[in-house]
Amino acid sequence: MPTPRRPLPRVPLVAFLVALTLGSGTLAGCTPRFVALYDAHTDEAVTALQRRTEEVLTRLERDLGTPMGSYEQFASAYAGLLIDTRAIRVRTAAKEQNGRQAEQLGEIEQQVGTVEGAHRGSILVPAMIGPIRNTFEQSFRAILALEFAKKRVG
Amino acid sequence: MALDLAALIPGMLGAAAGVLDQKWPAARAFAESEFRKTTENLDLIARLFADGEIDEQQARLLFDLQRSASRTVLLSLQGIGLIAADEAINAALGVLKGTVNAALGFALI
Repeated sequence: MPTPRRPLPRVPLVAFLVALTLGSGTLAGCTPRFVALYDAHTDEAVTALQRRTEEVLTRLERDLGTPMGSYEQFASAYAGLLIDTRAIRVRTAAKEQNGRQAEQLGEIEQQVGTVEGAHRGSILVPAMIGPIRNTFEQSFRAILALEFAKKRVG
Repeated sequence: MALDLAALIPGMLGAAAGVLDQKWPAARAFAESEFRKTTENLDLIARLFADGEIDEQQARLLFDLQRSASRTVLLSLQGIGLIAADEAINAALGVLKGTVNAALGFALI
């Protein structure tokens, strides 16, 4: 003889659906739901990328206008930054709810490409390095601020 | 047995507001600091142009880079806001948890 099923309580449908919808992400205690969880690897990789970018900017500041500051002397450094940035972006984009961070890394990639293009086109002069450094620093700070915000809840 | 979940709404709002109130100062400080740095950088670009150290093409390139950096800041603010929303929703659901779970007879929330 089948066991009689326990009748469901008559919870008002709308309230139940709202609770179910809102609660769907918390059933397994997975917080946050709109943004990916903190990732120590991304944190470390972005910090390392920031350091390598600063190394290139310091070299540019020192060498631009001298034979050591020609585009050819820096071509491999730009390629290295682009490769590293793309690698972090691809890994970041592979995680769900991480689109914003992937977009941010895309911005860094674009910034490196812009500086490289200016250098190749002989537009880059030492006076530009200060504002360029400020933009890179702001971008890296923004990426890390979001990662730290995830860490506080993750 | 009908659940009067509407009666829990003030508690849910209070819990959500508490989380958002707690998160807002840090988000505001981050936004203020970065907006200030943006204006300082734009001021620097303008001064370099005025002093003849860079030309219009170089100033435009620097402005494009700054615009890109500002986008990264806005994306972070968006993300930080969503993290706060996550926490606020969870806090609000926490108010419902006991009542709903007891009524259903299993841990839904």
